[in-house]
Amino acid sequence: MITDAPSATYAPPTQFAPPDPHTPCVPCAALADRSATAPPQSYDVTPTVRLAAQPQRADWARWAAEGFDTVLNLRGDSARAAEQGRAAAAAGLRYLHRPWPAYELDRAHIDAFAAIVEAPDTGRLVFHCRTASRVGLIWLLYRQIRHGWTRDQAVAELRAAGYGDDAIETFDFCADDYFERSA
Amino acid sequence: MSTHFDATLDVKGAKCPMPLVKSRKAIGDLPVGHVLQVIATDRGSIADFQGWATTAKNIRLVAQETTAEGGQDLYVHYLERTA
Repeated sequence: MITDAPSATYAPPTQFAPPDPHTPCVPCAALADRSATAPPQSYDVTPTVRLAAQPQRADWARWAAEGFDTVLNLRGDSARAAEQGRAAAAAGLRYLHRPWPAYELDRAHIDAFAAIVEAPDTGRLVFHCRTASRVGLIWLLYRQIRHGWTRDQAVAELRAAGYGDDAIETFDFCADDYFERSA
Repeated sequence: MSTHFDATLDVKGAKCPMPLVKSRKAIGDLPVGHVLQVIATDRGSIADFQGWATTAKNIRLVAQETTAEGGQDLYVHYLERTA
């Protein structure tokens, strides 16, 4: 909801600051170990396509062992993408980086995604962003635009893969925005 | 020093990419030169708004701040419509 400028009702803002170097790092190390072993949130929409959140160190080898061939990264950070590309290559995975703007997708993005999904050399694909939300939206649009599915059909597939109400609400809102802009 | 703004968009609880989509719609309703304050709870919105500002033709990211409300972190973004 957009409103006229109100008086602030929350605590005074602070600018982003680097972490305190004197803070003990034990909790950080524990978190890093945990995230290195816990699989990212992921949703298998078909036997050959997995939608996933940000992968951790152990996931490249895990995905290769599971039989995936290609990883497609939607996130914008090119430095992270370069690092991920090296990790993927070391695990024997093909790696693609396509930082498409999920907030302003157009038909060219969906066509480019379709070309990757449907290319024979893509094989089994992991498509990831930070939280698996943007990739879910693109998958929904791909189903509607490329395959002519109804919204209900596309949503049902995402629900069956494990997406919850919050995610579906986001997909619906953003897909409506896409089709309004495309009309 | 507080950042001037002309309107506020509350996207607390909205998941990526909803804050950006709503912001794009909202800023389109503002006159050129006006600033939109966007209040989000998604930590990823920090990088998302920075990324949007580098590619969008009609906005400038004026400032970003973090604050808290009821024990919850808030990420506040200020966007100026430039065209």
